[in-house]
Amino acid sequence: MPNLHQLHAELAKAGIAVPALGSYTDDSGAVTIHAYSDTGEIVPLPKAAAKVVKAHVPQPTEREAALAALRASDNPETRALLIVLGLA
Amino acid sequence: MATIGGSAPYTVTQRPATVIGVAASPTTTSTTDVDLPDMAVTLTTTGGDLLCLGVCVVGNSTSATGNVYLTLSLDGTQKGMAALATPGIGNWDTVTVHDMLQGVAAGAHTVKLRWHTDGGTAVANGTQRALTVVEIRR
Repeated sequence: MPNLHQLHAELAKAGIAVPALGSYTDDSGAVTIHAYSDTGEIVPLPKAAAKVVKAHVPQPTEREAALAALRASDNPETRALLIVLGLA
Repeated sequence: MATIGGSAPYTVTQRPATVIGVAASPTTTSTTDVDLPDMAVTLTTTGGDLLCLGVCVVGNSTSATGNVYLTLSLDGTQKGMAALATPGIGNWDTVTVHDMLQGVAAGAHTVKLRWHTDGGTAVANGTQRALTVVEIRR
């Protein structure tokens, strides 16, 4: 899955300004990323965005990175806490 | 408690129009209202009130505190109040929004279910969302 906030920043860096991003999954399981018009209608990404999307490598979010670090811990208290929270 | 419409009888003028989710697991990062995929009903009314009922199962994939808001719009203008949930990551909440839009002029109109988030990435669970609109007259 794309990291939409990261992709939004990458598009902006490439000079492609869109108000926000969204996505959905079609029947084949393919994920379509889209933008919005100024009034909130779903519109395709500008053609110039294709290169940026293709180069997009989703980075873990801050939460995902923190959770991975916790899961890698050998500390029994940390592992117990993850079990309690349903995150082990 | 305020009463709208008193006890006057209402008549349903046509079959309720309902749409359900088709595209799976839509997401948005928008902090202002945008279209929720597949959630638009266009109907031609005879001039009456529109009862609108929207529901969506929502989550947030990246923020534990980001709210997910659901609103109704008529012809591009938000109507009524926003409903919201703070599902947190890995959880789902069912959000419902409803309104009686009074005195809608006869003609073609579009009602939409829209959404936004104030943090993270809002997610709708699968195709679990629906919008029903019915015109009724006093």
